[in-house]
Amino acid sequence: MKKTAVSIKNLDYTYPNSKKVLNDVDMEVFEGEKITIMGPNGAGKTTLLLHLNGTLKKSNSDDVYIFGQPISSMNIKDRIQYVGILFEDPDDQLFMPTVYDDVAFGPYNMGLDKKEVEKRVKKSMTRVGLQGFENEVPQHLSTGQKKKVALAAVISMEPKILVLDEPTANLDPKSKSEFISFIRELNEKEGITTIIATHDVNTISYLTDRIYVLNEKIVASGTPHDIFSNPELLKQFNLEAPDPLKIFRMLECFGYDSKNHPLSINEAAENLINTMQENGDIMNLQMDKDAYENIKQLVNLYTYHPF
Amino acid sequence: MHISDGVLSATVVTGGWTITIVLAFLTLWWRSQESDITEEIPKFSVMTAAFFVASLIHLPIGPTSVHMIFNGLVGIVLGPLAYLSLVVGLILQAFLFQHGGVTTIGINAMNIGIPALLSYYAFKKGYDFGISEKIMGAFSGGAAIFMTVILLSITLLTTGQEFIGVAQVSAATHAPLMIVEAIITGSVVTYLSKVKPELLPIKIHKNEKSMEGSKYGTEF
Amino acid sequence: MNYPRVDAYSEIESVIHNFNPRAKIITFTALIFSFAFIESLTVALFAVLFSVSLIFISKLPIGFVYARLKYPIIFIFAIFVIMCFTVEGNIIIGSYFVSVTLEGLKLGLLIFLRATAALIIAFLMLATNRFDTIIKALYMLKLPNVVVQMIVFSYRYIFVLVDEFQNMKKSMSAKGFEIKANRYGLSTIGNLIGMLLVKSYERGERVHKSMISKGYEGKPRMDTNYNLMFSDYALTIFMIVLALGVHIYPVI
Ligand SMILES: Nc1ncnc2c1ncn2[C@@H]1O[C@H](COP(=O)(O)OP(=O)(O)OP(=O)(O)O)[C@@H](O)[C@H]1O
Ligand SMILES: [Mg+2]
Repeated sequence: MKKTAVSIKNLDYTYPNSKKVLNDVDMEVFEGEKITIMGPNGAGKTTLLLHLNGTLKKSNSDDVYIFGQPISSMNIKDRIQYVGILFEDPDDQLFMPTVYDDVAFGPYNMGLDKKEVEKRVKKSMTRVGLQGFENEVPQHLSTGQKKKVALAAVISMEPKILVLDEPTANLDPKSKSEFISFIRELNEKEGITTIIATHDVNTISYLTDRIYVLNEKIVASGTPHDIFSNPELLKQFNLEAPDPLKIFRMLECFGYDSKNHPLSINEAAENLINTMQENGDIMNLQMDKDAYENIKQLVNLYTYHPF
Repeated sequence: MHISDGVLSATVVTGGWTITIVLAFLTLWWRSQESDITEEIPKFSVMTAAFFVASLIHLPIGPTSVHMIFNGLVGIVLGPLAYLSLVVGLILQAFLFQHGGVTTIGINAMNIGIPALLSYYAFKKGYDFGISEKIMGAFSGGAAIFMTVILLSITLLTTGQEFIGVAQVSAATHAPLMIVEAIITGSVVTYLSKVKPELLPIKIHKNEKSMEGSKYGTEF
Repeated sequence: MNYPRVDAYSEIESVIHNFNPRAKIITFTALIFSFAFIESLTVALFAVLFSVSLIFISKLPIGFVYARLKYPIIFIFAIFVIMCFTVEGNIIIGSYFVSVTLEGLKLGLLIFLRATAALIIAFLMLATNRFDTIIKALYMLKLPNVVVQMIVFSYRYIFVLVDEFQNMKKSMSAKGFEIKANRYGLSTIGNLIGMLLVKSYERGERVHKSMISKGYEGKPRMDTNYNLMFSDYALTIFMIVLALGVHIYPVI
């Protein structure tokens, strides 16, 4: 039986003078899991993430538990040791004069001594592939580099749970895939639990065991396949399915037997190869009389561009 | 316009530092009585940076261009902490642009900081009295520059009667600035009262309209 | 982007660049305060010559020095000119309305010289190290923690906000707006500044959240390891003696 890393029970939250943002949210995340939170703009994803290490908290109720402990009873050092948050805009997180100071900021606040801090800075910078950048000033870094430094500044605290708010936004394709494989590595090699809020459906399958759909409350949860094969749900909450899935559903209209629906290009390649091998290295597609209507329906069901 | 190094007498400079150190600590202490200063530090710093960037705007007036001070606006938005914000702004200006002098940070801070504090109270009182925020903003913005000119002249003349000419010229160059800052401050305050009234020292009447305003504002 | 970069040439090797930053701040500040209050014209002239020779010792590119100091010096020069014409005393040149007095010329010149000397020293203090080094030196000099933090974070966010402001201005000028000193222009600038303030306020809130998510409790630590060397002590003593000397010499 796996340990529960995060458990959220009946969480409500209202910002001062605004309407309710989170309403009765329940969530359970197991150690080592990769969780994605999806939902329309303004759904409360960022707000929810801010509760995970007590950045936003209410004093009078215990609704967030980290490894069984109510977060309100934990002191700052424990909280940041368990949960590290990477925010969306790296400029919000790099506030110290140099990269070194930024990456050392968390470890120093944890009360570590200078030697240990130095070790951790070096290690984290190497992990994100920016060794030698310690003396740079943040304003001379590119967005991708800033984002990596911001991540280094979080993993230098060696949290057991890594929370990422739109980690792939504003990154060029190469930086994006570097970032993704990096987060995966942390999850696979070190067993770090990851919780990600994102709109980037095409990268989700690399980073997700389970999805929660949030819109003020949890409106659905399940495996990526569960969620993405429910187009009505997706439409209702301004979401969409990954492109490979849509294309393979289209291929089915022409008689392709796809078995499962790939969520990423890699899965798509695998799917194509397997299917072709099973059919004697040949693919048979044909357009029957209903194909056009089916395609049209499919596109209207899965996208926001009428066909 | 800030006074450079080498102009003022040692007495005036020392006096400036003394007043500035006392006022900076006093206003900081004051604020820390009402709110958590560790929460204020990051917000205050980003706002100070914003005012710094805003004061870099050069406005062509006739053959020359003037740059803004905005001490009235800083006062209205930051309240008592305006003093420290202006000190930090002057330090950064002296350090980054060699603008305004190092020895004179104390006296320059006093010359723009005291009017900032007074503008804050004027704005609050006027608004509570029922005068519109636009008018009070314009008044406070213009009055802050006016008071700055007065203090600047007093500073110069305390150093020596020989500085009367310099004082007159600087007063003359500040006259258009007074009008410009009055208009801009009025319009900034109007904008803020629609989009983010929390930034002004006024009672917030929360309604649907201002929520819409904030959406509009960020997409402008 | 046009960032304020006083430290663009901080990586050059020179005696002044290599001077320990903490010692540099202390001694150069002492020099600035000393030069700013020199009473004699000859000593002030010496101070200018001394600071100009420091520029050469620092090996900073002359074009850079010129670009950085041009406007501050023009400003000081303006004071000199005003003094020449407005201080009362014995007229040396002049007609009915405008006249230059000897007293004005002397006082103006004294102010011009000592202001220039102090300005150059201040410039050298900042141009010969990275700005973060200066900040850390202030931190090590035990300036009040709150004030150092405010300088640190304000400095950091100037860069972010300059970009943000430029983008807002660009999107305004894409809609045909120019900065002009008329009513419409000014109220548009007002909106622009209002927007900047709102965005900055919201950013300040986010920065605060990201700080507490890393355990911020009001006293961040910065690492500094600048060791004092023999040459630092020697330079420090030299500078301090000079700072005192310019005031003692005229008395002797
Ligand atoms: N500091 C705040 N004060 C008041 N209201 C806020 C604040 N931050 C967010 N909100 C409001 O709370 C709601 C949820 O915001 P949140 O940022 O959590 O959404 P999100 O799901 O992260 O959206 P996005 O996909 O756009 O990032 C929004 O309606 C937002 O306007
Ligand atoms: Mg968000």
